[in-house]
Amino acid sequence: MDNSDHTNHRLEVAKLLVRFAPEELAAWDQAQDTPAEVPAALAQAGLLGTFIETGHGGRGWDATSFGLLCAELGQTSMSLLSIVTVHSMVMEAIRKSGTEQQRAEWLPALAQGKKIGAFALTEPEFGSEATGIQTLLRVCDEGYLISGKKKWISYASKADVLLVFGKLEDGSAIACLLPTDTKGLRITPMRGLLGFRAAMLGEIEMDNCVVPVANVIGRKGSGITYVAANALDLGRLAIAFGCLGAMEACVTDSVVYASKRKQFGQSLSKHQLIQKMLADMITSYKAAERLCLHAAHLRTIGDPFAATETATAKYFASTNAVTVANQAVQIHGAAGCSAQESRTERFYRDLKIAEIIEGSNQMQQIMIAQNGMGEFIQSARKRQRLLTGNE
Amino acid sequence: MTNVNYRQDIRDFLEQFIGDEDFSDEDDIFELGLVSSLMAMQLVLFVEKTLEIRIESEDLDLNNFRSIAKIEQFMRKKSTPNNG
Repeated sequence: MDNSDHTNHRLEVAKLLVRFAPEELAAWDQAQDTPAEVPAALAQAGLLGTFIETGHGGRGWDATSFGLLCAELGQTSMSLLSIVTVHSMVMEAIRKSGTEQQRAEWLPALAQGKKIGAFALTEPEFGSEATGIQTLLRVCDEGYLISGKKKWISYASKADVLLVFGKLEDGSAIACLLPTDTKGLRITPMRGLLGFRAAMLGEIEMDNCVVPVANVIGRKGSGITYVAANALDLGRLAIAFGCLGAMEACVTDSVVYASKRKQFGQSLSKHQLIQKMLADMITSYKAAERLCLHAAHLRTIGDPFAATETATAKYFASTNAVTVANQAVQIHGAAGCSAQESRTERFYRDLKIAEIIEGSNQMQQIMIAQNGMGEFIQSARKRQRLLTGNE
Repeated sequence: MTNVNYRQDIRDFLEQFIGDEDFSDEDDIFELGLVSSLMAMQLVLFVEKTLEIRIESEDLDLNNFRSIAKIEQFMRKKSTPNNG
């Protein structure tokens, strides 16, 4: 795929999403509900499984096109981005860790949006420390009986199938697909959240739910370190690009508002303290864009360093997106605090969540340091060899 | 069995993450705490990209990735025709 493919893909997504008026987007947030026809429209347009191979019902888009899809979603609604992100993470887990039979069975329905997935890792007592999860799978005649609790699970309230992570009795981590109509499963919607309100988060209780062996994804023991890790890697790419889209919206709105709004006899954009904010916002956006596109390119070519670059992009984009949204609200003044007058207040709340999900930014920092230091040690060695004439 | 020697490629790859630590081809890099979870995932990608194969779940046995020697042994096995 080349730049024109990426541009066309982004335009295709933008044309679909523009049908949702700003008032509707604000209403979803206030109602804490994304209408079912929204993901249905994405499914009908073939936009729920873009990165899945065509042979499995997807469209075979590369990581850059998938990222730009996420940027458009983020610009529209971070809640909608969250729904597509967790659905994509379930598909990615099956794509990377499922057997050929599981890929053939699950991916077409998910990629075409006939089934919607949600990613159930976080528990009431375990978030960043994913290896501490307490959900337990015990062997039974039908396969496994799973019991435990999950919390803060995006789209749990509406999903058809959950990718649940738990542990076997010997302590090894395991991942499995659990249809939401399974007996013993209860999902309670979570309301009153700071952001991602229309992502319809839920709390999940599993009481001896039967999991057939055929629903186990990946090797026993690799549930967290490989199955979840790969899914989270894609999730981070989605969130990074989603933040980029939201930043673009905040910068655009701020520039337009600052150009029209007049104070002290001239437009806000003529005031140097406003220009200072706009300069910082534009710079942050452009830097985040380069990091996101670089990570996506590495992912497309299968570069092993893609995951580290994706963590870097997610960390930078989400951190800076909160700052940019904060500045956007500041430029809009009182209008920036009202959902009736501006979408910046929604972005400010939503983007704070982006610093926490798909691995908190503190976890990203640890990953970036652990995996990024070697590059600079090698750089120092090369420099030393040059200095000593051994190069 | 192929005669390709992957040891230097594996070491070059690992050193980009591990940096200044000294370790032998036989050292257990997981036991020494040299490998993070993200790096383990990237190690699988390295093998996939080098051999142009897909690594299936059943191959994700930690014993295949514990040391440079073990990784090389695994790569030689996967690169042998009818064994990938």
